[in-house]
Amino acid sequence: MPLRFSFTPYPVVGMPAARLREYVEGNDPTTGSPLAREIIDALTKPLTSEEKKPVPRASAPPRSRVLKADTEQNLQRLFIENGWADGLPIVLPTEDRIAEMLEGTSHAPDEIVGQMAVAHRGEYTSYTVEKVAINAVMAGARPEHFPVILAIASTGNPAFPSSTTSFAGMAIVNGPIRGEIAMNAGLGALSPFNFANSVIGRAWTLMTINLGNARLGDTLLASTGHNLNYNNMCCAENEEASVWDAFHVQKGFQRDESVVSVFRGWSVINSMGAANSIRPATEETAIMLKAFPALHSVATLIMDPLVAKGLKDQGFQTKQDVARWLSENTKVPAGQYWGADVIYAFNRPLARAGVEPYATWASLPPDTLIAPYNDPKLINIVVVGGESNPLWLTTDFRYVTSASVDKWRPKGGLKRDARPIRMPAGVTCSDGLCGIPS
Amino acid sequence: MAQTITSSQSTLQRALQVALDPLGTPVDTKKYLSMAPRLDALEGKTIYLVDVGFAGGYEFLEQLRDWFARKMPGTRAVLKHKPGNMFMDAPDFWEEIKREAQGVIFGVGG
Repeated sequence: MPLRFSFTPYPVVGMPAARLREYVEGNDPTTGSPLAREIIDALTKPLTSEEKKPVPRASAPPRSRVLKADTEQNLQRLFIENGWADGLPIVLPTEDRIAEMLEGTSHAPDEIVGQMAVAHRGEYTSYTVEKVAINAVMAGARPEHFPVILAIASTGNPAFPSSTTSFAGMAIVNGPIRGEIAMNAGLGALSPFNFANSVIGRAWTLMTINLGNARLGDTLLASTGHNLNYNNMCCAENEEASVWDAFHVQKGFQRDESVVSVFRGWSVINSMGAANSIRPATEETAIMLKAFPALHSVATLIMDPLVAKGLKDQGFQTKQDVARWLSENTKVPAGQYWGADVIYAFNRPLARAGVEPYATWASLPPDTLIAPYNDPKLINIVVVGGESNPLWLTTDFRYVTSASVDKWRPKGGLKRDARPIRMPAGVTCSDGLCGIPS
Repeated sequence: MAQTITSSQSTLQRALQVALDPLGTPVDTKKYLSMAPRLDALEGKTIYLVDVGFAGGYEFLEQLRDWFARKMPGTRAVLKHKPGNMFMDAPDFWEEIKREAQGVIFGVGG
């Protein structure tokens, strides 16, 4: 439906009252006309015929399945200049390559996998198995990776939904598929070495761009953007080295099921040498969590197996034990909590509506301590890392959902290349030399 | 001054390739609703100023409310927070606006 808009200078947040008064009495920066006059006109000026009876815009003609034939160089240019890539060269999605990728699942090419939109309540696009295959090929993936990529696509979640705040995403894989496609859950799992981690994470980025319709400056308005958008922290959980239940088991899946879980947030803090020694990891994490606004009580820790072992030695028998401790012991002044913009936007309305504990927290003196991570079920732990140091990452990421990978496997078993690409084995330190020549 | 890289194109570089379109199919969920009739004048009318919840929006609308008091005292400008956050529907509030006001200005953004 048509709407009448007027614009103020931007931003208004944080501006003193005198400046805001100037904005009201000044001009709309997009038209140069007096803002107040525009507002009055918007309320009183008779409707145009289109405003009375909007005319549906002619739908764009259906897109051709194939692009116009061109040279490799020109097609690479086309993909990047049209905003269909992540700023990097792609593997061209040719018919042969798509046909090969489609062997990575038993699902029909024209089966609808889902819908996605980067803009909240924006215009969604739907996509088929073939469209997912096109983006998987572009990312450099092989058919053996396709079930994981389809599982991510089936969630309908973009890796970076549109927000001026610049979201980031994370994809964690659990279950047997990790080993079958040689994902890295250990040393440097979040570093750019492992083929499977890299291409699956990149495929989510490309799907967000092309299937979620991310168009910079149009549907995507992330102000600074986010470097994690290149790969979305895609890795596997180190279930073998973990002393706790695997993440997908916590979410109700069987241990032998293969599952991908997606997360969304903004911020990552490295524990920076705090090795669960001078100060316990729980206390150190609580300090880090205080830096976040604690929106919706969510947090996710990416924890080296050594940290998990240390915490278990300290009496934390489960991940939930750690989450409960953090929920009870991470405290910030009420004034700090309510001073966060996102808390103002999302939790002030709850306080005004009398929803507890927000109503009580809103009534407290600013220096009163509150425990804003009030729902320990929303504090997640994923065990990742190579046990070279008991360190971890503290994030404000929210768990969004999990999806079955097994649903998308080909009936005859994973489609592997004759000689699948595998990362070199990590150097172990069992000889005491850590790979350093004597 | 920039220089342009020139190279003789190999057969491979000149070969035409066919690539598939990577974009999804738009799902048309648009609704074409007509706008509400406009008011002849604002004198004697109640106008809701609704802050949808972005930080700073309410403070801006306070200034707009004060502007109405100074410049158009015959118009009653009522400043309101939209219930829930900016992404939530608020059917009861929409009914309140229809019942209590003749016009509404939404403050979106901060």
